[in-house]
Amino acid sequence: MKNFEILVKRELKILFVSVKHILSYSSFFLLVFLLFAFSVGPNLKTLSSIYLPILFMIILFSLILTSENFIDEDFKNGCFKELQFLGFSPEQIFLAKCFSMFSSIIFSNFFLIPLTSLLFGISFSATITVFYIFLLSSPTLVLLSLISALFSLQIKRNKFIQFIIVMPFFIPIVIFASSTDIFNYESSNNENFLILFGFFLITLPISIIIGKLLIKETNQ
Amino acid sequence: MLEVKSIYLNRNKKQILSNFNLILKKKTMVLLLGENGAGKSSLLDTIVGLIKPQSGEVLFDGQTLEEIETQKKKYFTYIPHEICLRDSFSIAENIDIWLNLHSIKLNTKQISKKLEVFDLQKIKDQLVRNLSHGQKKKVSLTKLLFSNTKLWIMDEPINGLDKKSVQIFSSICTQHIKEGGSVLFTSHIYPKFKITKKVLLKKFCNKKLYKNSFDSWGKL
Repeated sequence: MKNFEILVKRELKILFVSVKHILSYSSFFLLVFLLFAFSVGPNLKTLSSIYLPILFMIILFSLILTSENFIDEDFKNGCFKELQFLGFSPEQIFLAKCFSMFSSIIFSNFFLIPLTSLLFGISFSATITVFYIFLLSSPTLVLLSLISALFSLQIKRNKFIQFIIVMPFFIPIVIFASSTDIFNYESSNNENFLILFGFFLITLPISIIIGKLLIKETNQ
Repeated sequence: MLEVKSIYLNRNKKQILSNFNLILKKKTMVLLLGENGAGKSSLLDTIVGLIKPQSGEVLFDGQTLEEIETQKKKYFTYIPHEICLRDSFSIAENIDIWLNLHSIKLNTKQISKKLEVFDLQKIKDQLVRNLSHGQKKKVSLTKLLFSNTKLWIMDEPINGLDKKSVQIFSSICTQHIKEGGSVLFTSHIYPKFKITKKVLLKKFCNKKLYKNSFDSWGKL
């Protein structure tokens, strides 16, 4: 457990000293959101009805595109190797990376979700619901996107294959996250919260096993 | 201190090592000499447990790699041929991260003193991406000065170093041996300093080139 603590501290230090991960995620997120807002037009009713699907699609693509940053540098400069011969297990390395990535998107979305809600005319109470959905779905999305980044190391940087392999697993999370009625959530759709949490519980052990195998494979 | 027992290693369907044996006693410096592609890095990666051999075992103070899995950093310090430094961080920040990974606590004065050995104190705030290959190598070797382990394992440590730095490296190793430590390192060129034992990785080497400069043949 102490080893894991040391790793998480390292990851957080890297994340917050060089803020490029947070900046690249936030800038891509904001840019695409603005493009959507401009393309749909000024009708707030239309904008608010498509807010959730747009939000989760953008979160998904931002995660996939930025996930490589969390793995790539450590892999190229040998730090991945160093962590392993220091005695940190591949599972610990994978989970520490997930924690760092999760922290970065939590930090970014803490500002980005309220900002985009304002832009799309979403009420304060609905924004709180969006936060709940985001908190329940994002851990699963983070786990899957890191697996996708590790796959890309294995398949000689072919992003196309990376998308094909992992993309289908993102779809159920996006469906259940974006189908929640954020304006009337108390009366219906509460089961979506449980389903999203269930997805996380299923994904966590499977991703740890796959992540471990993929990290070990990088030494070969 | 270190015992390598009948290692057989295949990589990419080729036999790299066959019945390789090595004993590293206290107060000795062993050089593994071989041309590019002779299997030096693979051998060291096998010794530190990054690559699993087809058969054979590696013992550190009589204990197998599996037995010391989470405690490896207490048994040896390994400097691989990769630089293991983050480009976007300064020398001081990289050293700080490395010290945290090893749970070593030192004050700024102590760190500065160690950085002075390779003349890095003046440039400690420079980003690693702005350093030359030789300077990066020196930062990498400076890690040895912070380590508390008796056994140092290094892959091509003198590659890219200038004459003065090679002398400094040699004196650091000599001092370490005087204090009861051991050093195992690889090189593709024959270094001009005193080494207890040289093992030539025979199969891939030009015998004439290394004539009379080795003590034993590494069986390959």
